Amino acid sequence: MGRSQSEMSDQLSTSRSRAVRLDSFGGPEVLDILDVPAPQAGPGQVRVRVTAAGLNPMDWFMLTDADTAVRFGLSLPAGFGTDYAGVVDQVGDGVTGFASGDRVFGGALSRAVADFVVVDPTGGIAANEAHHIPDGVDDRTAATLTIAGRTASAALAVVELGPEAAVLLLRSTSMGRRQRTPQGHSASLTRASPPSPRRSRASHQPTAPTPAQAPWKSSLA
Amino acid sequence: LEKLARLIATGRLRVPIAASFPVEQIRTAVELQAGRRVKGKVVIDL
Repeated sequence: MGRSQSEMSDQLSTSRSRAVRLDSFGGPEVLDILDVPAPQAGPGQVRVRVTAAGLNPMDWFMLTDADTAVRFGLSLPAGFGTDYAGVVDQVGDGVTGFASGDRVFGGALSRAVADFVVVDPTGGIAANEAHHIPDGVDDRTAATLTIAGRTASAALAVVELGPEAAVLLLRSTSMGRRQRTPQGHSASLTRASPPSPRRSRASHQPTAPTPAQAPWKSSLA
Repeated sequence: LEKLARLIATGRLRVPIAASFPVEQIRTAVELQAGRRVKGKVVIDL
């Protein structure tokens, strides 16, 4: 890892940004911390002083696999990380609902591990977004929510659980283990709502897809 | 996503955070997360 960051001032400049970058695809060794000009919020955008960035399997897929990176529209040199949490510090023209000082979280596709990110809070585009952090949720926690939350809600939309459904959770440490058998996962039984006196209607629910059909199911780790 | 965040704020959901690292240790953090054995989220502090 470069030593330049040790020479940087602890006092954050708002014109410069530490940013994790990669110049080639590979393992963790291709990641470096650079001192770059801080991005500026344009019309319709906000800039966020990032305080925490959550990692997801998607991040290292894009780090190690050029094909995956291309599919997400990335080219080298690229940034790293997508889930972020932080504080709005610039608000572009035309932005409503966000002000400097607002605590926010969201996705900034492959550029989140940096002191500053610019996102479009009104565009409604996944991985280029900002949402307010409620009181009582810390930044680190907020920085884990975007990809896992979108994955979970997409999964729930697919299986269309009723309010009394019993849910079998198959857990693994990350998505991508599509070759694993269900026996390789730990399983737990939970309910989507408080138990009702009637029998569970689990047998009426759609059959759970296999991990091979449903890689999203195990991506909540 | 905001609904999810509210569930956490009210304590109905908890997010297991396995580890957090300063950005200087990004390589260590990615190695841990990519090892697929960690139980919970890995977070980088900035």
